[in-house]
Amino acid sequence: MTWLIYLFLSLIGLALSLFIVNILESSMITHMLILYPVIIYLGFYFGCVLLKHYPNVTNSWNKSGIAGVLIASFALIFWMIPRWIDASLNHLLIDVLKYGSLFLFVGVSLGISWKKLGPIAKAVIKIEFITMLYRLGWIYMISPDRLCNNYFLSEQKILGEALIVLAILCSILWLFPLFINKKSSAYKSMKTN
Amino acid sequence: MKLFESITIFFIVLIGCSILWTATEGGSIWTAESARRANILEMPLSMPNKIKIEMHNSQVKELANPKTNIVLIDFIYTSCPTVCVAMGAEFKRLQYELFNHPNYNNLSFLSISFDDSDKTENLNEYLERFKADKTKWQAAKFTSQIQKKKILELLEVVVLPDKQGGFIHNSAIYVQKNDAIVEILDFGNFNQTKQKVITYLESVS
Repeated sequence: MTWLIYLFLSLIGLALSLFIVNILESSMITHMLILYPVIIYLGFYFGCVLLKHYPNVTNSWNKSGIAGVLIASFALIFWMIPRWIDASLNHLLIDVLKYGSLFLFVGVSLGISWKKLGPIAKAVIKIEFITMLYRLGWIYMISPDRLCNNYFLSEQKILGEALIVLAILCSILWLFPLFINKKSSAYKSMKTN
Repeated sequence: MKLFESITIFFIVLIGCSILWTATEGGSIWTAESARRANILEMPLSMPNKIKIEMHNSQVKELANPKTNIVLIDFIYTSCPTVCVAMGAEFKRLQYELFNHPNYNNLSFLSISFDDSDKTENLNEYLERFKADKTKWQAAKFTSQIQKKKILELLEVVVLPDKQGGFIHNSAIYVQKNDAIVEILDFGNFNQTKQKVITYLESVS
C-alpha cells in the first residue's frame, strides 16, 4: 500500500515542479539565475553524495577531474546559446532534455569531478567562470538586438547587469582571501575574536 | 591509466566541439531568429491551404492563393507605436520606389494583424496612414484563433504581450513567392530589401 502513497506524492511533486518551472521560465532572469543554478546544484549535490559512497567512480577516465569538468563546460555552453534556450521554451521535449542534461552532464559531472581537482585547476576554473560572467553580462547589457525571441530586450539588459553584479561578488568572494596572510597575528587575533 | 585519461579528454573535447559546431551551424547561428532565416532559404515553407484571412474591405481570402506572384507580408498590430509604424513606412517607400519597375504588377503587399482587437476599420486606418495604394497593399486579420496559431507557429513569429496592452514581436518582412514563403528579410535594411525584391520580381517575369 505504501508504494501507492509514494506514487501519489511523486505525481504531486512532478505537477508542482512543472508548475514552478513554468513560472520560473517566464522571466529571463529567474530562468537563468534561479532555475539553471538550482537544477545544476541538485545534480552537484547528487554527484557529491555519489562520490562519497563510491570514491572511485569514473576514476578510470576522470581521475584528475578534468574530463568531468570539460563535459560540464560543453553542456553548459550549449544550453546558454540563445537559439537553444528559445527552442526549449517552444518545445517541451527540448525543455526536458535541457533539464536532464543540466542535471546529469553539468551537475552530477561537476559533483563527481570537483573534489578530484588540484588547486591550480580549481583556480583556473574559478577565473574562467568569473570572466565568462563578465563577458556575457557585458554582451547582454549592450546588445541592441533581442537574442531570445521569447524574452524582452529590457529583461536582457537587466540580466546583463545582474550577471556583472554576480561576477563582482564572485571576484570578491574568491579573490579577496588571496590577499589575507593567514599566518599573520592580526588574522589570528581576528579569528579568535 | 594516464594515457586512457588523456585519450578520453581528447575525445571529449573533439565531440564537445563538434556538437557545438553543429548546434551553431559552424559558429554562425546563435539566435533562433538567424536560424529560422537560414532554414527558410534552404527549405521554403508552403502556406497551408484553407487559411482564411479577412481583408480590410471585409473580403475573405485564402493565404495560399496570393493575387500576385510575389507578396511581401508583415505581421503587425495597428495600435503599435514603433515597430509596425517603421515597417509600414518601409512598405510605403517600397511601393513608391518600385512603382516604375517593369514587373511592378507582379508585386503586392500584405500586412496581417495578429491582434484580435483589430477590426476592419483599424486595418483601413492603418493603410490610410501610409497612403497605401489599396489595390497593391492590403491589410488583413485572421478569422480563427486556431489558424492564427498555426501560421504564427509555422513561421516562428513569437508574439509577447507587453505590460502596456501592446506586443513585442520578432518583426520581419516575409517574401511569399506563389504559395510558399521563400525568404525572411530584415526590415531595417531598406536598400538590401529593395535589391532582393527586385531580384524576386525579375525571377518571375
